[in-house]
Amino acid sequence: MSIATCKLILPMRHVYTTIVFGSCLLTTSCLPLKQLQMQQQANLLNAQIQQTSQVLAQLKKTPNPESASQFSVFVPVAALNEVFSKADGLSFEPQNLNNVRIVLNQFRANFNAGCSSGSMPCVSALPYLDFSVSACTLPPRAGSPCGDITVTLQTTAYLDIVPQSVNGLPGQATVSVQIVDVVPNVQIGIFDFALRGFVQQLIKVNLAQLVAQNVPPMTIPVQINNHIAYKGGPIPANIPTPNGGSAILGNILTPSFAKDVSLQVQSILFLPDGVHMYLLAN
Amino acid sequence: MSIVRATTVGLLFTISALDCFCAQTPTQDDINKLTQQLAVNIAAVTQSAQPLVICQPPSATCPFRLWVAQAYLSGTLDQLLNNQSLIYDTTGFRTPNLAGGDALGCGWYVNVTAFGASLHISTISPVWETAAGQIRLSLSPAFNFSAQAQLAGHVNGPPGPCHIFDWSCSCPIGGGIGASVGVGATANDQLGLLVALTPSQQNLGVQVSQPNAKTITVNASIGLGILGTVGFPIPITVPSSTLYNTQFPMAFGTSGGINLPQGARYYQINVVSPAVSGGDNGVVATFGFQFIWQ
Repeated sequence: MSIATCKLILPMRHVYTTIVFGSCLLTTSCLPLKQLQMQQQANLLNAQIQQTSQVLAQLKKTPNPESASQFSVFVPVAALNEVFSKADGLSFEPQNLNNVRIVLNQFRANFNAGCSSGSMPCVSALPYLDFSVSACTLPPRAGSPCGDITVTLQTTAYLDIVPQSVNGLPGQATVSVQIVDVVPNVQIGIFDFALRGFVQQLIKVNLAQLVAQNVPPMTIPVQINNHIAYKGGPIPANIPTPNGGSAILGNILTPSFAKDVSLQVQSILFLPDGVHMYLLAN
Repeated sequence: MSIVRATTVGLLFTISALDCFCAQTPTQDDINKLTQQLAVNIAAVTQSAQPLVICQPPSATCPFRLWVAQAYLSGTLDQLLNNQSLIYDTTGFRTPNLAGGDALGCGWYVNVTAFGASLHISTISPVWETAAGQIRLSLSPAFNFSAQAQLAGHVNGPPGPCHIFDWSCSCPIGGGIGASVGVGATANDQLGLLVALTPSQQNLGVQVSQPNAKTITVNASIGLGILGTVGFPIPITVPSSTLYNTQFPMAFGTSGGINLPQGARYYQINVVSPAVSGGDNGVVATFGFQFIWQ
């Protein structure tokens, strides 16, 4: 259930607050937080079931994707995380929230999402990210990132790679982080009035959109358009003739050639070690 | 009035309940079922995808990898080389190309005055060989060779007077006897080429070389009247050297960036320890990497 839906159901917010507070004894459950967290988890599981089914169908059709390709490119997780690490600790202050700072602590590739830690080997082939985001009050003084309230935001995020740089340089693929869901992950006690007010403020806005807007766009090197060329050149090749020192003087000329090669991505697999792209040439 | 108030309160409680459960909030039981279903899917994905994992376990030193299908590489080389010609470009002659004495006393010579040759390549016949992780592509392109030469032969006149007491071949009598003839030759044979694949920064270098010189001989002969016919071989050699040197698409480059609020930051990837090997019907190039952030 989205917050927006609830707003439609009950536009009289002051009445709503009174009723909810009265009926839920001022605990975490009086906010729709618990439901949001359960819903987020169910949504995530449903999405992952669907995504793994798609991967299975893809692998059933082509068990070895290289056999149906002319090129494959593997970008290791460590290279992706190196790029991601430059966004560690980015923060922003949403204009529509009062006294709130959102900190993108870090995001890292976790293409084994859904695997329980004990089950090895395990390959889920899901393009998810471990995305650590928190929301906090603004610090009273500069020099500290946060004030006295900090709330972890449970974030569902996955990676999207478009192997064609839209506004960037050639030879690069755009990497974007898609934020599906952001829900505060916090327990609120009966007398945590300040925390409750803070969380209430957070769940009223579209946190996923706010976070998504502030994840920096990135590019990784993937070259889709290529050119094979050889400029023919002379190979010195004098031909000796019988009279001492005599010769036919000349060179063997090798021909020039050129060919443009465009690669098209057939499929992408997000495996625990990195991104595997399978391509066909024109 | 009390009925209205009671109705309002009732309505508000109903709405409150709706607010909590309007989207059928999943229960823990629902979550458990979904978790089990996902586990079944993941077990199946693991079975199918595990062989595709390259770095097991993933490590910071896991390199970039490019795989190019052997059929694509040899097919592209075929497109590039088939129907191409190596042309002999004559730039001059160091003469005489053949010379002798006697005849009318002042000797004779034969010069090549024009020369041309070409070697037309057809089917390249690629053969991939993989041994101990090393990959090698050999090509045996058939070729059609043709050459044309124009020969000029001359028998010098007898010695003549350069001075009253000095008769020598420096001043022969008359112009001597000359002839000019065109000769040609054709041949069909095969070249033996090797393709070396060399990964470097951003590129998979493809070098086509001929390890052993190939010589095709044209027999040139010309009639010189009283001397009869003289001849000599013209050995046209395609030397052992690199014939082609090009780069194949790597499918990945070496630069990228991240657009941070304080400004974009760009990186270059410095390739470390590039290596090439064969396997899985392809050529595998691996590239260790270092990020150089600007």
